[in-house]
Amino acid sequence: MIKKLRVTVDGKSFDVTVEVPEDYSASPASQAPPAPSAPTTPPPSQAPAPVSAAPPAPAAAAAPGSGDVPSPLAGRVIAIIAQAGQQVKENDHLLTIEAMKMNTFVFAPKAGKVAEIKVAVGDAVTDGQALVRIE
Amino acid sequence: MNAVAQSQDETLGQRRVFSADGWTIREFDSVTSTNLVAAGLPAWSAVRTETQTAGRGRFQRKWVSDQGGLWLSAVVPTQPPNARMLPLLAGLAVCDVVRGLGFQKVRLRWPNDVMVGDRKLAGVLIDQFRAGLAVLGIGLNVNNDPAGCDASLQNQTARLAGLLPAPATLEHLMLLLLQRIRLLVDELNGGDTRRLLARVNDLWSKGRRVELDLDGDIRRGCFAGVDSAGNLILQDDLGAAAAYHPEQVRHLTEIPDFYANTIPPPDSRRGCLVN
Repeated sequence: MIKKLRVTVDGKSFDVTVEVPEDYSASPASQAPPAPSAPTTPPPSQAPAPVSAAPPAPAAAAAPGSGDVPSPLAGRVIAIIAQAGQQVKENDHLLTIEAMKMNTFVFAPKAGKVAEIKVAVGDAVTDGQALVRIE
Repeated sequence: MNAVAQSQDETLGQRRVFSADGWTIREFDSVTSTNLVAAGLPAWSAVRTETQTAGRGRFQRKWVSDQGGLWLSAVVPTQPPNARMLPLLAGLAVCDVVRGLGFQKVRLRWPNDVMVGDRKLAGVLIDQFRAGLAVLGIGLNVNNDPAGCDASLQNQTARLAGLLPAPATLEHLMLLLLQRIRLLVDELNGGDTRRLLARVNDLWSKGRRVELDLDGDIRRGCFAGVDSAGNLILQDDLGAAAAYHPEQVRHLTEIPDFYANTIPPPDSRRGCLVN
């Protein structure tokens, strides 16, 4: 599948075309539970001992409502491409999340109408949080 | 999977494509941004250019990419739960290579600026343009002169040429870095985050006074590393530690040692555990 992305660099937009492997849909399935609201208690030592190597076992995550597009990771919304009311195709670029200088592009999991954009640029979002609702 | 070559009109003079150490490497004279060129390429592809015309930093900042520096993007496979470790891994890879070349006093500034003292040697910007793949964009100052291009960078940058008696060629540096990245990504995707994190935690200047900008809410304290959940740990002046989710932290600023040493610390350094 071929997909177009718009990347903004220094105020200038670049259109980039990428091919998406067929198994794209496999990835967003792994919704970890939302990050705990309170920061985890760090170990008392100065250097936090990396205790649990494995990420928390994905308990049954609170399933976002039907049509909700979940955030693939915790981060901050840095760009919103889709507009409410807009028709989108599967894999259209909806918005971009940033965390630790890593930009993650979020795509429409299905074709439809953007019913609601639930976040604003600058918002901090948790893993699995609903970002956009597509009908 | 045949990647669609994109942004070709944004590239000048593709010099060559070759394979080495399991990577397929494309070299250019000039591109807008190596990450954009790499956006459509499959895993274990790399893009190197002599100059970038639109090198990118965070918050839409420009990244000066003049002739003589290493401007490299590497496409790596990711697995969702571990992808959040990639920013740390990229910084570790650069530090490992620089140390391997014989310069030891390199350190990390959260999340992945590679620093020599208070000067920036290398920076990292990652794009996950697609699920399952990440483009690690790395800029390493080697023989270039960033401050010559942008006066505001005066005294802000370091370069390898000033640190090593005989710096490696850009191509050699690229291959060292790609080898290192491959090793670390395989380790990460193999599930061994604990060892990786321990090595990253050895590279911070722990005890360094920093300011966290949480959307205008400023917290000050001593940086104490990253915990297993990826949270940033800050110690206050009484030694109590607090963890912050990375997405809460809009920006981390290191308070220059200069001030810490010249201004009588009111309550500043008291209580900070310093290595």
